Amino acid sequence: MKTLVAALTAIYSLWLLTAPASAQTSRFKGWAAISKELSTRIAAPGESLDLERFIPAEDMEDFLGTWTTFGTEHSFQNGLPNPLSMAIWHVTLSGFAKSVGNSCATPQLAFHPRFLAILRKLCAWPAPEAQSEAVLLEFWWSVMGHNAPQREYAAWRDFFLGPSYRGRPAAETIAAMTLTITMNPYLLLHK
Amino acid sequence: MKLTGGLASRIGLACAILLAVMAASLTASQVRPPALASNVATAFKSSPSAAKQNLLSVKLPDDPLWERRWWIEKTARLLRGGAGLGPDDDVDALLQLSEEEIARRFMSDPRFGDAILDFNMFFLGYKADELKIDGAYSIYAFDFANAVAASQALLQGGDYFKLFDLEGEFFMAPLRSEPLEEALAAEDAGLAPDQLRRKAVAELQAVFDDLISPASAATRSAGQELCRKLSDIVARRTELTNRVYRAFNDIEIFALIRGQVISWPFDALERAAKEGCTGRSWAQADTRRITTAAQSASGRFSRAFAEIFKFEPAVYRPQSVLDFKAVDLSAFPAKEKWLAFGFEQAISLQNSSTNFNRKRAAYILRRFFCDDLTPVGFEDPQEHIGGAHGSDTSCFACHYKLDPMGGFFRKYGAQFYDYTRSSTIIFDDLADVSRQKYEATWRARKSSSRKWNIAYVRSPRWESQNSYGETLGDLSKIIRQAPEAKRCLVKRLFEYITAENQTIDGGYLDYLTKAFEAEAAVSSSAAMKSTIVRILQSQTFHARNPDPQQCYDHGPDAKPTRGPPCRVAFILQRNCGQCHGTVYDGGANLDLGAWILAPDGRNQTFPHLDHDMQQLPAHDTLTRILDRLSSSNPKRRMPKNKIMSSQERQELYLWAQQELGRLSKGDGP
Repeated sequence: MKTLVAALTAIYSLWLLTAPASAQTSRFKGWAAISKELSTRIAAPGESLDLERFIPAEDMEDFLGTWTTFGTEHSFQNGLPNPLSMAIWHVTLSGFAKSVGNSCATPQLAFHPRFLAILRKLCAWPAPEAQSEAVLLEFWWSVMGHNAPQREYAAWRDFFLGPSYRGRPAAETIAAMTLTITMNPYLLLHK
Repeated sequence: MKLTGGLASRIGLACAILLAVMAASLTASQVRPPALASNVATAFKSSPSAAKQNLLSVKLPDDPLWERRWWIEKTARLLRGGAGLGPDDDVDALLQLSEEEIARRFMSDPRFGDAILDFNMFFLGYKADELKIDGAYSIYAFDFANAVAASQALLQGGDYFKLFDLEGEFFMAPLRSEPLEEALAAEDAGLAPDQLRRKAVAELQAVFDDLISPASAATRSAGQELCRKLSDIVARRTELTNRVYRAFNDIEIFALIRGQVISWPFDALERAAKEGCTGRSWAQADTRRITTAAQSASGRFSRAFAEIFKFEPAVYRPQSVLDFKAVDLSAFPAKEKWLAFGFEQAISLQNSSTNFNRKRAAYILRRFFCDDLTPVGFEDPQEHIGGAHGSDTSCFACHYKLDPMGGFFRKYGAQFYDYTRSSTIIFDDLADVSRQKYEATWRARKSSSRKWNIAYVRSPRWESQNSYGETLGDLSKIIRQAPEAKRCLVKRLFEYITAENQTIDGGYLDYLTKAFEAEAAVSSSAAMKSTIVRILQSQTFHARNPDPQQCYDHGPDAKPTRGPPCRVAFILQRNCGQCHGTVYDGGANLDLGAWILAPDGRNQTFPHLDHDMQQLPAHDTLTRILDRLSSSNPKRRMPKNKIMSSQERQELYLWAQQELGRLSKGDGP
């Protein structure tokens, strides 16, 4: 019964939150743009991160915002966030985040040496040196870029230095850190 | 279907978590910024109270340095083809530079070529998600010849207005390196794409060469033998052509057809067969005529493919837009300039036996003139036109522009194939018609000084306002000279840099356009770069999450007044302000320069007084505006005795219509 109530509550919340969405103009940058952004920041020089493998099924990236509509004049499609696209983003970026989290032992993707150096420092988590401002900020910038305002970083940092993750293992924490950055609207959306 | 209690609760729990995550994410995406990351994270792990604490602890003012970094990141992404700041960028050094210096530095990056090509494709209505796939340019990056030519010109300080040229160079993509989707025939099994190409081309070359072999000519029955071979080849034209096509993909076949690489040799042979063999006895066969035609066919075919093979991926793999190589069109039988409409445009801008190129005309008006063809009445034409499109007002409102524009494409049939040399024209719906009859649609009346009614029409009443021509070359010149096209280019650039649905103040657009035009008179590429810099420095580009209905930038002479909404304020000022600048104008008692609270106390409206000098409801004012904008009666149509651009009339009309709709629905401001 509790589960049912929780589900209904969540559905109601979702409806409540998406209702004004039509009045908003924020759109996804699209899978190709996000993929390129992340590759520019953390992939090895001249390489692209193979992020497609995290998309749950072939051609699903079209649901994350696309310009490519062959055979007609192009307009950006599937740009407004909706439950389906959010679920696809979540599954895809969870896979990516997990991969980053598991890269402490062996890199799972072709990372840039500078990103690997930052990651190694963070892999010492929950050791105090991994929880330093410098390490956290460096990791934030290397994944988020400079898309978000400072208060976003502060909220993220405080959360991970708080009781939820302060003492958790590195792989789990780094995966959660990566997921929260990559699911952040300042990264995913145009505005 | 019934589920066991445990499974049902697990599914329910999974749904709840997923929905909560989505809800949190959507909150993050739609609601104002505070602590979004913590929202998401909290949804995964934490309790609501913990989230609340986090929210409270992070209410920091935006650090100007962070905001500046954000601007640099956004600018880098925009000017380097989507690549933002990377580990090799020295952000601290960039922070020391002015915004203009930063923008110009990014514009000197080789990736700027990709950014400009991307914008050019956006301008043409065919922006792609990505120009490169796995480090190599996608075939679609080559498909818009004018977009490529203009990008190269911009990078080299050349003529950026090549973007407006509808014919010019042909930038062929590297030939296919991937296997075809269909399985290869047994005879071709195991061949790599380049081997298959060479084989297919060599086969047809051998057929042509056989006609001119000395052995054929030396026999006593040379004429008989030649004519037999010739008729056999001509009869097998389709089969032989398809054997070459088997080695190429659709986009390559499209180029082979347009370049008449295969059809021209066959046409030459067909003519030779008709003139040298048909109706003659074997002894009378014109062997010299046939041999000359065969030599010509073979030579043209051979030369064209020698040029095409220069685009084998083994030898041609461009790394930047500047590396894109133009085909030497003198090697192709069709030596004319290459039409800028590429493969995808040929698919999406099809014509038919009944649409008279109106789809193509609408495309030109929309993309090069920013004219969306909203039907907003029209002026009484000087010359009345027959048929529904000429007599029905709602039709003529668009057709007065569409039909004369369609005439520029009168020679082009299916897939923009040029039928100039043919007496019939075939359309994309596979119907065919006599070209002479078809082209008569656009013939001017006998008393006219012009041969054709083909034009970019600004006014059906005042012909002196229109730009007439005959060919696509003429249309290119018209676009190059039209102030509307430059204004459209700048508008699209603003939309590309900020957001497609971001409102731009007409005064600001005018300011940007005037500066652009002045600089473009010296160098169009320098003008384009400077305009990019200006928009990057705009308030709109600096605003985080700007309101699309709001104008953040205004022209230099703009006065901060409580005027009408910025979407139409400048249009009203320019076209209407002279007569409707005060309610005491003695005529309509309408002030289109002010914006006041309406009598209902909820909405806003223009000051507009009735005969008793009482303010009229907003609904009445807007209804009258719509009527005056769309009337075809010159005595009622506004602005009176003045030409208002079609684009501005449409914008004002649409705005008034939307306002009226909002009022009717009872929506608040």
